[in-house]
Amino acid sequence: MSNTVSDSKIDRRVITVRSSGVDRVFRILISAGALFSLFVLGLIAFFLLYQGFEIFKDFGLKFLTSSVWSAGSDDGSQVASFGVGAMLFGSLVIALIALIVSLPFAIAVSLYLEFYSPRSIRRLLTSILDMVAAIPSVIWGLWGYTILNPMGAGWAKSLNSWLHWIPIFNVPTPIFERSPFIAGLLLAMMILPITTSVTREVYSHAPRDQIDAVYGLGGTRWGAMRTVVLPFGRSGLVGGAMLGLGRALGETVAVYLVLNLFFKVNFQILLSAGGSVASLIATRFGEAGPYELKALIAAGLVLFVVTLIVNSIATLIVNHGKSAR
Amino acid sequence: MSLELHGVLGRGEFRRDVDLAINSGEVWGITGRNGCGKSTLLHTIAGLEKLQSGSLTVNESLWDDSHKQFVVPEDRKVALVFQDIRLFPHMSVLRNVCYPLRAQGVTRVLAISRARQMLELVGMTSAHHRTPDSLSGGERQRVGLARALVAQPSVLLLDEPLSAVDASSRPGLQSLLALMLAEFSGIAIVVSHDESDLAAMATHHLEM
Amino acid sequence: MSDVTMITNLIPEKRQPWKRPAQTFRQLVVLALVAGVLATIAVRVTGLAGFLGWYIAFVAALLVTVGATAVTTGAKLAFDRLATVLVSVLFSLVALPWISLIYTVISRGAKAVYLGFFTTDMFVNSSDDPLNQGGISHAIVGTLLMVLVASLIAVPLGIVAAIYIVEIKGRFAGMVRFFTQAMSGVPSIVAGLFIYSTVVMTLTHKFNGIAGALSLSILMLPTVARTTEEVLKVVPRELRDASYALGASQFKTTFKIVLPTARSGLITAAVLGVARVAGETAPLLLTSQYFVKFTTDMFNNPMASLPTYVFGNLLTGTDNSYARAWAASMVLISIVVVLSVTARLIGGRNSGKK
Repeated sequence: MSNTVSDSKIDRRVITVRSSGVDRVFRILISAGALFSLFVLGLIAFFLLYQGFEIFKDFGLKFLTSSVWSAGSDDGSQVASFGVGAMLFGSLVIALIALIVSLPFAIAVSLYLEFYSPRSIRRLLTSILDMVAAIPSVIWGLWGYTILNPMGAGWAKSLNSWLHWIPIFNVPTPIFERSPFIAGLLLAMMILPITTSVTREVYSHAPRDQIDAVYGLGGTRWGAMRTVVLPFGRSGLVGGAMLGLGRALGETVAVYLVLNLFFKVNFQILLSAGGSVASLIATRFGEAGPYELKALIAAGLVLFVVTLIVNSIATLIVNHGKSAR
Repeated sequence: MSLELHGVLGRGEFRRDVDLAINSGEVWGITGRNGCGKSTLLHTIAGLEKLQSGSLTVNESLWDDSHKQFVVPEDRKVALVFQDIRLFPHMSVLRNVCYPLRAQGVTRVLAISRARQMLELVGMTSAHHRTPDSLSGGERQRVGLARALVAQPSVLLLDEPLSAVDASSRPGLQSLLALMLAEFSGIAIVVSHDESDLAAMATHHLEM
Repeated sequence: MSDVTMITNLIPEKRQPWKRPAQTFRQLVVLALVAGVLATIAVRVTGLAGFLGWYIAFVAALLVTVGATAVTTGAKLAFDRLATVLVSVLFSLVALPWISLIYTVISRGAKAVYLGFFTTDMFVNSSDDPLNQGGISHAIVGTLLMVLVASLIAVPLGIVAAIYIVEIKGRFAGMVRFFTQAMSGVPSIVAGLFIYSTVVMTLTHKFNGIAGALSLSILMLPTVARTTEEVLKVVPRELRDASYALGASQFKTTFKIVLPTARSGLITAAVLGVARVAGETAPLLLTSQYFVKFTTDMFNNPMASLPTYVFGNLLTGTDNSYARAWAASMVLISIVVVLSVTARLIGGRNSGKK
């Protein structure tokens, strides 16, 4: 059928004047259900703002920049002061480490799965990747605490002895357990499946005809990767990386187990002192009085906003890449 | 019963002036080159597309005035058999034919008996529980026809009914169509690029 | 494009540049052996220790060896070989933690599993008791119940939201879509914090299973909605048109044609949502906390769950409690993996190719 006008894209619902009773009820019910979800989600956002508002009123922007987190004392001799500065910085640091470490691997694994692996086991490998993606974070945390932590401390020691002249690898005291370095490593392993699956999906849509063209001109497989696949997959890679970043920022339990919270901005990633907003909430939750609870909620709000921004950018990039294909 | 369509079909750059006045009992065969708007005409009458200008009136009832008035497809008593027939792949033949009746609220028992009758009329008596993907082109066309007729529409629209049928099944299907169209009491429009098909089935002709 | 594929299939496989004929394979073996020798020397000289040390030495030696072949075959081919080695090595490196994790879970958890492990709770035992006492029955039932309730809330709501976006295309469709996308990024602890502050603190004044289920449903809803939306969009519009053209209402079309066609995708969406929340710990720490007794009462007491059981035993810190944590991890991973594989199988059946 080569009719030039074959798709009817008009949205009948918009111009409808007569529509059956059944459909009216149907639309009302479905709309109610969808709007209910919208309402609940909006409620969460509103609630976070409302509860945290008092904190922002009391501390203003200092909440974001100050590193002190103290609930004060009961008799009022010490005033409460809350600031997520160190924790926010810490969250960003470990997420960044996770990203830097996992990105080369994500690219390599995606390339491997799409172009290098023997075709027969490809589906098996992809399935394994999906299963690894499903491993709960508490188990990663358990493994991280018992296996990775000691090993990572050893690596940190070696790293420190060879590269201590680089500021971030220096430490004031040789305590290497539960450091941002180790937390970042663990997070890297946890976010790898997400980043990889997005990247792999993008690579699978790389234009085969261009790849064939490279071969046709006498190029090698790596040449095809370098000239066609990698540039093509760039936006997908960035999108996948940002999704992984979002996940890393929000990770709580695993980080709680492999990171020692320290309420001061710390650049020295090998040292056993770090920050994470999610960890802060989990740690302080148990003892928090009503005022500190509000502060924790405010911290949660900050975390949520940052994660939201990162995820939105990621979605935009991935979708933009999709539509460009 | 009558159908009056006076106006302009299509969307955007594609425009087609149409002037149609059809009465019940007539079978109109429509031919034309590819891309001239035959399918668009059927879609417009079925309510899947809107008129650019003009109006469509069926039995004194204004279905589309190209402005605010637009009757949605399910409120028009129209049955359109697409060129690719589009049997629902997850349903058996019998359920497919029952579908228009069930959609109108007919009880299951009644729907099944009417569907069986219809399938017998089109010569598909033993295929009730087969799935669409196991049918040949000709069989699919028969089931599609049964499904369209079972709800007794006022307007029957057939889009290239014999295009997906292999040569050996054509004569049989052509006769069946001619017979069913002759017995159909409403308004029928058949689109086809094949002159011999229309010669067998249609009482009136229109070239677009 | 399909013509090209047909022709490509006619060409014998050896012509395809990415398939290696036997000769190149032999070359690779030689390279590997040379690299092995170099690695041994390197280990002796630099004192790199342990499995990891060997691994690093071997990889470095491999890279050097392959690079050296540039002398004979030219830079282009050498780069290609280098790239192949690098990609394969990185891939294998990635698998190391996974293997280690699975191995550790099984080897350290197995000894805590005995016949009564699945049928007893920890009501009369403490985490440090000998491993033939106590079990995870309370944790299993807690996870099951809370995940079930969360699904009962999130799955219908998610599907309805997706129907609203795809089928009805209502005025707020864009907003609903944006919010579900946004909320899928909610950190799990924030969801827990929300339920804690609203339900636990203000409404019920107690930690219980319902609060836990509610926090899980917040995490589940966006996932289900987004996956369902994708699945509904794939249903060809021709089927919808055919249904309308036969006189069916939108309601009938959605429920008799669109949803059944998308059925396997819907199941996948639900199962994936479940797999995701079954392993969540952070929100439960704030809402359902922990409870040592087997209970089906979701309202009047806290509730155990597999993730919190693992977490709690880990923090206890004794050998026996560690073993318990590993064992529970084993159970948890099995559940989650089975769910994921099921989702893949169901989803894969409909889509045919990968």
